[in-house]
Amino acid sequence: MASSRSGKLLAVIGDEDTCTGFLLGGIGELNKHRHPNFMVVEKDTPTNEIEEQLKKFLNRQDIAIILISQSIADVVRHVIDAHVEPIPTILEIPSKDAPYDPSKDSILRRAKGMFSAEDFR
Amino acid sequence: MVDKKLEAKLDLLCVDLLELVHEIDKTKREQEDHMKEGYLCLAKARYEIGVDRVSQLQYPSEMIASVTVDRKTDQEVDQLEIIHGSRLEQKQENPEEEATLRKRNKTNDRKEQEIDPVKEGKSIGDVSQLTPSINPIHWFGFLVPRALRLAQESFSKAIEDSCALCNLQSRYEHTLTEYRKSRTRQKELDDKLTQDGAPEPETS
Repeated sequence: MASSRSGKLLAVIGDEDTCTGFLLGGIGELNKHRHPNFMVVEKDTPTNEIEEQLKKFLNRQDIAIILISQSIADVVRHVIDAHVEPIPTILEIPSKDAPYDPSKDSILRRAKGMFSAEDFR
Repeated sequence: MVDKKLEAKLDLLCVDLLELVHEIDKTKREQEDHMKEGYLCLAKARYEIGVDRVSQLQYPSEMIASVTVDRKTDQEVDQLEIIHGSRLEQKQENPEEEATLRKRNKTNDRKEQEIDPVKEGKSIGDVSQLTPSINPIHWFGFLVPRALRLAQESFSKAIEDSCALCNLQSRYEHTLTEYRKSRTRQKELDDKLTQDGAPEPETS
């Protein structure tokens, strides 16, 4: 069967409640180097730390999905847009402070410009 | 005739794309609802047992994921599927997958795996120090309020929604690529027909 034999992790970058919630769901892990697959972002967390952590998650072979709050994703948009590989998949999720906004979602924004006037000629 | 087939294919791809966008929007809203429910339950749990009792201060120093994803590559578009069950158990079933540098003496490997299979998934500590795969809810105590259990259920559903969204995203990207290729092909055919001086085929 063409499938991977062992499961890959979901990583999460979000505020404390988001991380606590998803860790309650069972996705949390500390790998053999004691690196977590989650990052709690506080109000005063520097942008470069978030960028660095996202890049680390993107380079890890054992992570398949990265969940990142939409408000935090806006801060590191350039890193997300530069990522074109299918795995790991970056998924923007809502948070307590920033509910789901379809106008800011990367997929739906691209879908808006999917068809041009020429397509209907 | 070829042009008609291409147009029909383009139409189908358009419909697929719009359906996928609708599905993505719908699943995102479901995910948001589950997460909102989860946040509310976390707040209720904090109210009942104290703010510090439900916070990152309670995260343990040893953690093993009990929810992972498996990538299925046997379809046109790779799909991700949620697996329940700790990575520890997965590694015990497939011990050969973890090729650690510390496996120097092959004859002792089997004994190590029998005596301490847990070590395959961990780099530190002996069996007595390692915590087995436990329900993360127990990080916050053993008699936890019902709100915390409800929060766990809500976020579990949010995790499944996340996996479904990743699959929808992959299908969307794949369909969009197919659409753009077909569209480019159609434009090439139209340009060729125009150059040859032939009338443009009817679109109705």
